[in-house]
Amino acid sequence: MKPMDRPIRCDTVPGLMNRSSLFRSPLKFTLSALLCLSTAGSAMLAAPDAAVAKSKKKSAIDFDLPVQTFQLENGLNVYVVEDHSTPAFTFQLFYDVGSVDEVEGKTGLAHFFEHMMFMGSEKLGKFMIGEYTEKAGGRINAGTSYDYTVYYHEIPSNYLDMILWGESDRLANLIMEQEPFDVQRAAVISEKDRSENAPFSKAIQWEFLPELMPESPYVHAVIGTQEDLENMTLEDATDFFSRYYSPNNAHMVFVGDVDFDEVKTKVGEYFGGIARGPDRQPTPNVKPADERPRNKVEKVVEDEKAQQTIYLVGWRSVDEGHEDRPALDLLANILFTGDSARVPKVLTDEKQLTAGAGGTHLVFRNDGALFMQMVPSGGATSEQLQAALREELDKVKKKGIASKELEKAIRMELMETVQTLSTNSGRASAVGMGAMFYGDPKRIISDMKRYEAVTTKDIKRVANKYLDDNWVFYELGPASSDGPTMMGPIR
Amino acid sequence: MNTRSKTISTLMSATLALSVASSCKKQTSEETAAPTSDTAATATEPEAKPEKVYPAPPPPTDPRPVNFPEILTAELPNKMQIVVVENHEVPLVNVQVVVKAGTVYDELIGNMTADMLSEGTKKRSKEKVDAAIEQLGASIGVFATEDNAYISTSVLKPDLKKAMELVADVAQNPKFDNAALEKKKKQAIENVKGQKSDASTLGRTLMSQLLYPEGHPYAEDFWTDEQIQAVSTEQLAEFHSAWYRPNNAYIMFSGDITMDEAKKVAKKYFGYWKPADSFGEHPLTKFTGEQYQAALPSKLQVHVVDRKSASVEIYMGNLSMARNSGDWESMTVLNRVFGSGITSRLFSDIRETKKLTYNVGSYTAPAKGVGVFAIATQTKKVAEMMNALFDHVRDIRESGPTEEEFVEARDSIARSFPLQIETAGQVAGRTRTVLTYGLDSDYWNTYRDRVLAVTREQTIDAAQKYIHAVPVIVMVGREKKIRAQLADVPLLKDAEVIVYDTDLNPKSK
Repeated sequence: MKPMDRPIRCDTVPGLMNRSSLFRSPLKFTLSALLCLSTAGSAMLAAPDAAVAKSKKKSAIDFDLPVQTFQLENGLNVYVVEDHSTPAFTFQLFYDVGSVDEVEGKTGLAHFFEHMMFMGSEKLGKFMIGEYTEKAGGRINAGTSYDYTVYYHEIPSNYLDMILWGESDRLANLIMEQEPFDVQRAAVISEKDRSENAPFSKAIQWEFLPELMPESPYVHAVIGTQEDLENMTLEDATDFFSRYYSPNNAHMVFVGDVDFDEVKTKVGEYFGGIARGPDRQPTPNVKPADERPRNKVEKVVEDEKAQQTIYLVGWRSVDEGHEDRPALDLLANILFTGDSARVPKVLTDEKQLTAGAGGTHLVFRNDGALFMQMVPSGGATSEQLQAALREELDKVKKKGIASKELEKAIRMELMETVQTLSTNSGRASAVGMGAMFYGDPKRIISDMKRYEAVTTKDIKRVANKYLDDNWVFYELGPASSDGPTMMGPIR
Repeated sequence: MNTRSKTISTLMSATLALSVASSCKKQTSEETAAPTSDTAATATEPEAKPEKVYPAPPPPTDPRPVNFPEILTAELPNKMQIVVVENHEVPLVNVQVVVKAGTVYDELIGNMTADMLSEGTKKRSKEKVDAAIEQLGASIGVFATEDNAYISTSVLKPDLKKAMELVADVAQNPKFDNAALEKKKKQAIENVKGQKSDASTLGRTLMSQLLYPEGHPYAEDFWTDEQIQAVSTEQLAEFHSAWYRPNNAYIMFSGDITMDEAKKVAKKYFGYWKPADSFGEHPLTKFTGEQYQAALPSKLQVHVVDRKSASVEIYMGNLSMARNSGDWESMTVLNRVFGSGITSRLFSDIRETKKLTYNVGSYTAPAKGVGVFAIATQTKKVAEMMNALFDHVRDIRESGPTEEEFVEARDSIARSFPLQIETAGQVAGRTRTVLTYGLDSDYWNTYRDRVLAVTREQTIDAAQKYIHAVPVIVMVGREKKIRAQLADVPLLKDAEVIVYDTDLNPKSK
């Protein structure tokens, strides 16, 4: 929610489960966008309903997320938040599949398949689903991330039937044909070119993140490899559809001007007849947190399109559901988020080694990393930056933090939660992800309890545990004029 | 058009969460939704096999009434305006001080002044300000656009007073400290480097230079290191004193607040700000219709920023109209048919049928003065792309939208309005649009009627007036590759190609 005359609205796709701290406090330099890892500030947190009930601790801040829910016999889970302030609603349909579920040789399939969902079904010609929503004055889009796929509509409230009619048809009766398949393959390859054309984009997706989270399902980018995209077949797509696109692998969310009873009746009418699918297979290559390797990597990557050096630093941490995750989120706030955070304050303001520095705790469903970026200033060297950064981190590791810093970090999480809940789409994605990953549609609210339970001792402990020498430290710089041009993807 | 908005790109969103329709370009808030009919795909390339007949979707139920929320206004004795948009869904209040001190007055100094507001006040060091606001889990954003400088924050309601005290101090009493300026200069130099490595920034910047008359404030440029180094704290203080005044500003509250509460805090923290006796002339007034006319290109040329690039970034643009033009709504409807959204002609034909790109679209950028209409895309197949774009421009200019396309576009824009005013932030944004561009105060209350009153004839006129047959064409990519492909574009094969480096200086041969 940046108040501007011209909002920049791109894919409103909920991003990672991460709390998108970078959005809350955007770094003030060009390349910050490179690392804005989440698209919409859709927080994704969790906890049991019991915690919510007594969430009135301090301050006058007391709010609830009144979610009503039901399940069809075929396993489709539905969540409804009524809000009649504007005659429109947000519909989000999550399928529990992302690029993490792809196997070797089939990378990019989840996202590619998402494109196929627009190419027609029994009652819908190519793109008709989009045309109908748009003609109704609505918006439609879809997004694929590492951990999930979502389809959404935002539409005036008198079009409820139409949405359910279209979404149920493409789930029940999708048509898979060679011609649209080829059209979408070309579109996806072009999308890949485009997204990888920005400086360092490839290096981050295909080198930095894989080295940060080795032996995990996050080693390949959502978009997939060129080779796999070229080799993908119609059969792959059909197979993927039958495995993951079923009512029992879906979570449907309505937020806005809808009536729960009406939704219940109509969802039953449109989706009730769709057969249950196979049980979801577990995501491959997921190891328990303490078996995930943490390597030390330091390297220089050049890119001739770049004119500016940036540094990326990451430490592998834990997944979203891990007990250390709340403390790590807060630690990242304290160290990296905002001008008064420890690292930016020292590196940018006091020592003036960086034009900007900032970071976040990047959290996925099955992995995570403490992550920061720095843009050097005035010719600061890699060694200077490393030394200054280590010095700052050591202070926290040795002496811990002040309770005021912890309060601030928790306040930031609270603010972010409130901001997420201020839009229909923010509420819908919070409900959908909380429900899908943890069976807790109110996780965004109940997670506040987890933050409030964190102590300064916890912060010190996780700093010592995770901010060790095993960092992945990248210097991404413009190509030297006579050297080799660009290091390609390493795998 | 200021440098900050230039810097926002969307790489990582594309990187980690991919999306189908992603017309990932800037759109004005009133254009955020999408387009219309089944259009050009069938118009230009009839299907070989017989069309399957699809059933109609279930009809809508009766529409519910939609009203633009009431906007309350008041004024302090020093002439500062107060604007309140109430929304009590969550305990959040957004405060925005909007000063009509945009970069039109001086791009570099205007930006630097805004930038330096966050570097400490006469009372509080930067560290103190940062620490105090961040303790509330908030931050103070300061930035300048062409027209305005904004000092804003969002806080939980109980923290409003603490936040107001800081915002007021930042807006009224900046220190303009030398050491901080030196730091900002270093950062600005780094920023410029970043801009020069971004293909779309290169393209849009060059296009703006080519579109506007010499010396026009909307013509952007990359600042040189020398220009940046030459900025002094005195210049910034002077700019601040000339334009940052209560009688040149308003404060907008949106969210969980009432007018009574707003007046109280506004008076307490902004009531003592000293108004100015008079203000300088707005730079746009210097430019006449003849000068804009003279700036129009007389023949097609291709301007190439020579740079390594996987695909070629293409911009095709021309001067169009101001935001407060009576043609705005006609153009909005027309552009919905032509290039805005996933069922527009450009998208459905060039991306879906011809498969020449991932993303293609057109937009009209809102501006106080004469704005820009532009088509933006990226492709490897430059020749096919340009031929397709020229065809679409010709078609829309010759016959405008079909009746069916027109009706669907018009209705879709009118219907989407409830979605545009869902949050306090959206309503506040729309209210700022009225205040920034000088629209009628009832503009949004009557917006749907204005759109529904547009006729097909008006959209045809708009096509001829605002989508030019001889636009400025800018491409960012390897010169050699581009030249080789232009031979296959009948309209461009004899066109002059002018090549630039990434500083946007023409290369001599």
